[in-house]
Amino acid sequence: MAITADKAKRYSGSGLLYLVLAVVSALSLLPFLWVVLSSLKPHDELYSKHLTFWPHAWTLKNYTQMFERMVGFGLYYRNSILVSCGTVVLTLFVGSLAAYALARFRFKGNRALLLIFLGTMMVPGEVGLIGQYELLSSYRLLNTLTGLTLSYSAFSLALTIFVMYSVFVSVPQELLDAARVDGCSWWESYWQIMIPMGASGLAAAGTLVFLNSWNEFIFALTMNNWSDEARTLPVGIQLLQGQWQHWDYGVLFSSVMLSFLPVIILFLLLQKTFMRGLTAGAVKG
Amino acid sequence: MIFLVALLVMIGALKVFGQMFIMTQGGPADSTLSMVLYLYNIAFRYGKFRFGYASALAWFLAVFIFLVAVASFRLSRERD
Repeated sequence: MAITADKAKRYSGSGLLYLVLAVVSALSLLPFLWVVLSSLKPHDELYSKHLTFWPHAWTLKNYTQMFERMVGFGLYYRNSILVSCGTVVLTLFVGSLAAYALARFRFKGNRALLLIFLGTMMVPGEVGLIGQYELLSSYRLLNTLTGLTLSYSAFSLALTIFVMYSVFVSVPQELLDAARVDGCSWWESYWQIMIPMGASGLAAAGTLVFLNSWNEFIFALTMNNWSDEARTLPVGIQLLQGQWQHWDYGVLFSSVMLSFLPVIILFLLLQKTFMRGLTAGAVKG
Repeated sequence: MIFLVALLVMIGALKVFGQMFIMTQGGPADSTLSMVLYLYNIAFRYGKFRFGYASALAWFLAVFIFLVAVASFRLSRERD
């Protein structure tokens, strides 16, 4: 945001552009900043008549209060992590294998299969809500972490195949041929060539899948909301409303902040790989 | 690229659910009811579990989104 004097001169032609960009980024960052600051405000300041942006007094009481009052928080957190990580592992494994087959093997219906997979990305997930509910209910998988993981994996698969296909197609065929001559089986060349070559793609797809399943709300709400044991974090946070009829904003903000933590950590860790992976398939033309 | 982003955001907005469900529950007097919230209510909220009608609504939404996508593609091609 801070533009130094000579840089500002260089960009003066596009000054308007930077103004617009600054306004837009401020618009998207301010609400988030407000939640961060509000989670550190004491209770009476949150509920006072005069709206404050910057806290007058700083406190961590909201966080300690949250752990006292939101009994299932740790459980919801664990559930969310298990479901999201399970989805990522399952989707990346199945999806990259499928992409490997689609990108590297010539068989009948290869093209059609790829188009069908990509076509499922066009269908909104909510269409499958009721069908999946009945399916999981007939397999006794409602209100289990396994059921939700399978459901999320089904939706994330198309995206993973899409990303991994564009990565795997750009791996030079000579490399695979050389491995084949040296006696590599298809399975070995998957593990020893495709996976290392597609690492950045895997990281990008994995991050997207993790974020999607971490934030997912409506499926978790319909399928895993019968008891505490399989409830995920977004649904758990939403329950804060029911427990006291009105939102306890201090507890709400601090729980939102903590639910945001893994996302920030993941993004900071994988930022570079993530960007590279997203553009890897795109630039090829 | 900007076209694709616009289309994706538009599709995402057509599928909006969480905001209404959490903040207003579709009220007051259904003025903030969205398509997905409506079909969720039909299927799981009103206690009758009318899955058939809700599935029909879901498919209507899917077809509508598909038509919006096709129309946007057509329009963007004409301008080029």
